[in-house]
Amino acid sequence: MSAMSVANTLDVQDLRTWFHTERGEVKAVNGVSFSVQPGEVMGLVGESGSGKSMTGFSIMGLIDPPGRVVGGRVLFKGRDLLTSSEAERRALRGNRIAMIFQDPMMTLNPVLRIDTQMIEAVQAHRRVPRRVALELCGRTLERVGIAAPDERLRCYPNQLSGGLRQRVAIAIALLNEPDLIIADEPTTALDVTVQAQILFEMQKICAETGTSLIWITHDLSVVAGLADHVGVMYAGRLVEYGSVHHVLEAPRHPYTGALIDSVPQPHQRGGPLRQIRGAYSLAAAASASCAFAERCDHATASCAADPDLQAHSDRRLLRCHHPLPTDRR
Amino acid sequence: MNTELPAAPHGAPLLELRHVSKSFQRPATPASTLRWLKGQATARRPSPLLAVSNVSLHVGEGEILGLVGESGCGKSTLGRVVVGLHRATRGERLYRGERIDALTGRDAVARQLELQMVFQDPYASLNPRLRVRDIVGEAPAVHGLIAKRQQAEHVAASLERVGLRADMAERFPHQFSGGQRARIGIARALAVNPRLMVCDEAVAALDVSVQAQVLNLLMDLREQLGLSYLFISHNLAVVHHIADRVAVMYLGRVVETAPASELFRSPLHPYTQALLAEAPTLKVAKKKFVAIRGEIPSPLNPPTGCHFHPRCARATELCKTQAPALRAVDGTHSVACHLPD
Repeated sequence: MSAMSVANTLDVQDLRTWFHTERGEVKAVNGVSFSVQPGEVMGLVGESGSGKSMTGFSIMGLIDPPGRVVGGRVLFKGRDLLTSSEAERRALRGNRIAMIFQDPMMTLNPVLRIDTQMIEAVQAHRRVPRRVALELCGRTLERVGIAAPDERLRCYPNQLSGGLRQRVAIAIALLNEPDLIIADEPTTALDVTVQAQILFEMQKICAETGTSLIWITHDLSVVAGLADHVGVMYAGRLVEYGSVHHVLEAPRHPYTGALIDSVPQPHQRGGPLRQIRGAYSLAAAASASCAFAERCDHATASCAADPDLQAHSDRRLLRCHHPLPTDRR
Repeated sequence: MNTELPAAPHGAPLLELRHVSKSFQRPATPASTLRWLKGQATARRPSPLLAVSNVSLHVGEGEILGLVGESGCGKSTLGRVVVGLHRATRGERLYRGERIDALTGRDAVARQLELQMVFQDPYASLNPRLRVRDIVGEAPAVHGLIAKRQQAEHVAASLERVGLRADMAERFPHQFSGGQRARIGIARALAVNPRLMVCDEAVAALDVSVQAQVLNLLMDLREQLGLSYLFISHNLAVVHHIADRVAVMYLGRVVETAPASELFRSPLHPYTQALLAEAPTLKVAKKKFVAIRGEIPSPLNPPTGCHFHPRCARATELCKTQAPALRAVDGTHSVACHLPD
């Protein structure tokens, strides 16, 4: 990744989060590096178990035993979060860095009214009177497209639909105008029309306020519409990183290519979809060879040595000995 | 792969629903009882929830009918009516032209077995305490399709047909990945030799590479066995890929139906248009997501007239009062909308 610069909102360097289990070390995040600039939307894509959510959780400092961040640096505006004290991190979380979860009920307390929870989130970081905080809550709900915010503020979470709850969770993330939002599959459980509304609001907010956004998802098509840069994860590592145009239109890592081909697209209606043979296995991830090698059509003997993440001409980072040709499609 | 699929043979629909409605009676609650006591309501129990309202559709032999809609639109309820897990409150269910709900005894069971269901959740729909051989082999043995001593052989054949190894029959569900469990669910449905399978969000819980495997399997099975599917999904890209015809549901009603290629090329209903416009695609662009207004209303309290009118940019006075009927635009394309095309 580019040399560390304070201008970046976030620099993640060689992040390693391992889980200590009875059956040995599971390297959920295994040397992930990337950076995010102010106002940038980065998509972090991968399938279940690829480590994309764990990367987000590690940045937030939300890893619980048996998991542990065993190495690397997470520089938020130049300051290493991993060496900060818990008090310092708590002052940042929900204030300068916010997280949106897939399930809004991870954010919301079911037995408290929305206004109580939102005001608490404001007053945890700022000394403002309740009345001022409440006004801010109403305005923020409006920003995420909630009509009649005053009414919604007096509701309990169970009185709201799934789409509304997720909007409230997003509004809570936005309350203190954070510099960085980490969103972990926030629209996966929502309907298409509601998802579109939320993507619309997020785009607008990032453009207006310069907030950086890391959007973690398994859905390549959401990333295609939303992100500036995209990182593709496999077995705890970034295997390809670059601008969303480069990566999705001309993927060079065989895994990225196969992933894109397995998404049904209108021009190949009814035809067989590309399948990736075999399945992801922990053993392959733990071995010294390229973790994708046994499922890869391009693998050769040289793939027994794990490739490094290397920079290519179009500022793309690639972890592969045999990248796909540039003119593949 | 630009081949246009051949038109499905509609000669004799394998399955037909005629004006089917399904409502659920809700139990009395303290609040509803209070309203009744105060004379604000005429009955102690709240009014029934109309999940499916006057739906007619058919699935031809070897055809894949896609059923799309957002949560709460009644698509799962409709799927359950098709396989007989729910009995329609009104309307008829015809299988090969025969009113299947009027049959009794062996005939009813035999017909019913030809309609099978693949459920959404590959975790919840398999009994964790049964081995795969029992999950897949129980129904054909119970219904006398095979003798008990043929069971192992039958299970092995069913598993191999869905791309699993025969020796996996001794395992329990937790020993499989999500994609393998989806295959077990399909093998279970196939074990009784169905003609029509209702796939209710059968690939929704799967990763995209695994989803591709299961979609390929479903298409292969149709080829090999001549199966028909009612393919229920909220994922438009998947439905576009697999379906011959598509029906779009909104709040209990079918609002548009057309051959898949036509529906995705020229949708007529404003709701279908909005759905297609909002579905994310792989096309890279800082796409401007345009929100259609509001959310799908609660089926407990549906809007008057056309159910879509509160969210429709082109709604007129007529739309607010009168529900549009499904009308044929041409031979195969029907839409329920007052607006001129």
